[in-house]
Amino acid sequence: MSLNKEMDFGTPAVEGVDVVVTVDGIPVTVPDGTSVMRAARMVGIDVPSLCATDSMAAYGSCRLCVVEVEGMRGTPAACTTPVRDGMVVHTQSEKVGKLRRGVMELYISDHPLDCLTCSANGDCELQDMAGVTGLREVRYGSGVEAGANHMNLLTDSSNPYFDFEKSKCIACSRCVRACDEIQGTFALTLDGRGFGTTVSPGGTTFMASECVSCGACVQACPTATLQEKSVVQLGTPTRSVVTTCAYCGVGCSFRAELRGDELVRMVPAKSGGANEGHSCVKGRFAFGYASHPDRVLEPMVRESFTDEWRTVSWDEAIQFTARRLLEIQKEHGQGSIGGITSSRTTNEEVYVVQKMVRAAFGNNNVDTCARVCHSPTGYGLKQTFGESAGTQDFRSVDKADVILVIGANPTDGHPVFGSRMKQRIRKGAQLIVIDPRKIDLVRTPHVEATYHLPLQPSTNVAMVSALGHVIATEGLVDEEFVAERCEGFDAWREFISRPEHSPEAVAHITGVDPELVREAARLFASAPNGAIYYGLGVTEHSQGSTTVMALANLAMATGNIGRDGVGVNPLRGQNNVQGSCDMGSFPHELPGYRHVSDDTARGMYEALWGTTLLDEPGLRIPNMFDAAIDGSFRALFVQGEDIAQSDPDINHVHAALAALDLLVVQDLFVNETAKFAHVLLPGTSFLEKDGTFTNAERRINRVRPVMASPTGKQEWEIVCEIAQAMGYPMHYDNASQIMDEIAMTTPTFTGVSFARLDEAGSLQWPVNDDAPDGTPIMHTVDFTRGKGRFVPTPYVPSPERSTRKYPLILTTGRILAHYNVGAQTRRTDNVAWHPEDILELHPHDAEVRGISNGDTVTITSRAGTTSLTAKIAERMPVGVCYTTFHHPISGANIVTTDNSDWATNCPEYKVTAVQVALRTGGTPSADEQVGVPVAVAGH
Amino acid sequence: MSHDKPSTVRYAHDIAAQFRYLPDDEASAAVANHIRLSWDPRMRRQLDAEVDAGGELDPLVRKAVDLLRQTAPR
Ligand code: SF4
Ligand code: SF4
Ligand code: SF4
Ligand code: FES
Repeated sequence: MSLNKEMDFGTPAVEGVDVVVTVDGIPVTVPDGTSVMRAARMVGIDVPSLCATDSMAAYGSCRLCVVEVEGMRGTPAACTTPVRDGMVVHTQSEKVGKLRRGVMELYISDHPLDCLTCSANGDCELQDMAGVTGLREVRYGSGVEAGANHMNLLTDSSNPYFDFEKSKCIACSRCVRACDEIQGTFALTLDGRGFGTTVSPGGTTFMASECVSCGACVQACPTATLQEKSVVQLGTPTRSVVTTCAYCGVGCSFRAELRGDELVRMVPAKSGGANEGHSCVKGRFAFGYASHPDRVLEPMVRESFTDEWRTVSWDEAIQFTARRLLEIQKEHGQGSIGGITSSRTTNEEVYVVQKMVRAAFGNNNVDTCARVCHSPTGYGLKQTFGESAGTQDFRSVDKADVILVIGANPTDGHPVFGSRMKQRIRKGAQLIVIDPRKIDLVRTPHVEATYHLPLQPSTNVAMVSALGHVIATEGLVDEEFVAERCEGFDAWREFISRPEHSPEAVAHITGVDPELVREAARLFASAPNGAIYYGLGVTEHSQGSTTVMALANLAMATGNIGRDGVGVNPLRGQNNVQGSCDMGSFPHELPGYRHVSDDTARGMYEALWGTTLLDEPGLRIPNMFDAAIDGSFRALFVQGEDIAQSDPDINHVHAALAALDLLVVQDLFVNETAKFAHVLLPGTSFLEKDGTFTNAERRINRVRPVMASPTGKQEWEIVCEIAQAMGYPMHYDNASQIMDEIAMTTPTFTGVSFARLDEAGSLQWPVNDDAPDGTPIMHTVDFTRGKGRFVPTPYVPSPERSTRKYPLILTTGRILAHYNVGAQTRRTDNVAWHPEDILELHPHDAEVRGISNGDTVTITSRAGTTSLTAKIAERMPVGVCYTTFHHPISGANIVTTDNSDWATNCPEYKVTAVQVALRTGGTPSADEQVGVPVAVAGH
Repeated sequence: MSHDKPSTVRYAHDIAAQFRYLPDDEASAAVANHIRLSWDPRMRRQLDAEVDAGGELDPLVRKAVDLLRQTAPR
């Protein structure tokens, strides 16, 4: 079976007018400026190469690619020589053959000749080139006989996922350039000259270096020098399946490479629309959880959550679930049961859960975990633009001149997009960062923000309105755009121009120098292309929806909507947040964001599903918890989401879950929620799923089964069987039929099918008659709602404020190596980078409390108390502390409160007033929940 | 966490705070509309009960509840 390797054209594609060149007698039309190597390979003529690869600029060091060009002297390197019109190239001649063999001789003389036992045997470009160039002898002797060489250099095995076998390095610099140009970390250096050249991660080991383990260098290495440990252990892969990463909202495409049925490695696909060949440590390496022994493979049932689990057959589990749901509904009413969908599952899996709730349960009590992350995005962008989605594709950032990043930390949260953004900034775009912390983007190798506005947590609206104020009052509005394309502008201008919104007036709220705010606003407004990127630092606030609308106002006022390089772009947390929202998992919206009171949309589903649907909204997740405690809500189906860990004010959540008569959990592991459950339905990992994910740029990507599900069932099948057992007919032969139903009923998905996706690779919705190939950029001519709508954005302070008792503000986030509550990444070697959650605080706040690095401290809010290890960090502002939420033991959600976004009830994870104190030995007090296995929230 | 007010009252007050910048009539209509479009009916009933019980409520919320009662069955 073929490995289905992607073609390497040697150098990147360029844009330009077409020219015609002749390579070995074959005419080829390419854009002017294309390399000779690329032109040759485009017509199937393989010029030998070692230092060139099409993911980065040509380097011209190996001289293996020499060719002859008529009218040109000497033998130019094909990778660094651009074509010109009418050029005639000869890639084979005695002269170039001899030169190439000479080059190979030198390489081989300093290379161990253990090809037959090397882990890269059969997958090594050096080996291939020896064959291609017809190398038969090495005059200088080879290996150790050759005298001075690098063959006794020791292997660096410090990284848990790949080895660095230095003795095999040919100093081609592909790894160094991959780290610089693709990843943007600059962790590798090329030291020495000529024969003495060596590569190293800054003179130390990989683990001790700046390396973030993205794997770009491993992928770029043409030899076995940088090699996945899994390849060393399992052997080179023999087949591959193209699929999509199941971690973050970037949605990277991968070739899952297998040997037989065993997954050997994940290689990011160059054809991937979101990632174009790059990945981060999670997607590339952290897939071991799928085969972790903790996985539950058989259904389990129990009468009470204090009983022991009983392993049962699928049939028994499904009958039990359906019977209990019906009994509870009979006793407590139609609205007493409901379901929660997950952003970790496919569109098809989400669609069937919301269908089960609406059609089989007969109510609208369906919500999704996006409630706790990006529901304000849905609300805010719908109010202003008319569509609950980001406006651009990721590629668009390449055309941005000024990039405004607020409440997001892309280098950790959305690493592949973060790398792309860094590339753009290195090429000259300017950056404005609005964040309480000095996130990495503020200053990192070769990237520096022009402005960092370190505002106080929970003051986003005051800050973004102040930017709007400057734009409105300093004549920076794009009047033509606003007049043509927007409405509500005059009212907004009047509102925002009031003196109370000026940077000077809000300085005591935001804590930011007003002159800095004015300069940042001017920079953004005067950019030819200004682009806004934001994350959970915007949404997870009591005014999350208001900030989203304020950002939309800013983009409209400056005319930064509807073309490449601009827009308002939410960076989504989990991989399928966009998709799960699109699929109708909000209690007030049918698929495609149509309100349940919309008679036309509801009528269509009623006709298709053969049942009456309710026209009033159902319960949101926090409302479900309240209603569970009140007693009107008694049974809950939870798809792949650990609400007992990830939701705020955990004591309240636990009380709600414990009050339910029936809790059904569909998950890979016995998670924290499952501790309160009566039924556990084993789920499938992304390696077993068949379906689609939709990423943050609305890109629908295929998720293909790489291996068979060890549970014997797909998750959507289980949901259908429960609905059937409840007496509602629901059946699909395969996931593709579910997508067909989605396409038939959702105007933005009309042109989507598995066949169409397989053909196109991926499609960005809307995909319909108006846009058969999808819509990378939205609102180009009109906004989805017709005119873009300006919405005034008053600043309402969060109810959560620092007080004498709780003088610090705790904010939360995540780091690169882990994902959400860590259920997956903690079951991989990624723990090597982040064994525990840490509380970061400013040196001053630490000093006054007598806290030093590494001390155990207690964190107390009005909701609860937990404890963490302290780290003194200059990047924190005074009065603000920070932690991640990847480890259950740290229980950060014990302290988060029940404040929420006014419009959507998205919890205010980012702001909790706390006191931090040194824990002075002894056992924790009774009310301090140290070590209770519950963690914090957000994604 | 214990609260003296039902969550629906807190939610309604949060919504009211966002629309207070509008003239009174528009503000109460906006609050009522937001509640109508996003709340489960049982939450509306809980808020109604709070009004009936003479609970301490923002006048804007009170007005919105009146509007909701006029347009939607309880
Ligand atoms: S793994 Fe990534 S960050 Fe680390 S050295 Fe390689 S390219 Fe650089
Ligand atoms: S480690 Fe690999 S990619 Fe890097 S210089 Fe050596 S051979 Fe080239
Ligand atoms: S976690 Fe995100 S950035 Fe990393 S590989 Fe997966 S989709 Fe890409
Ligand atoms: S491939 Fe052209 S010089 Fe190395």
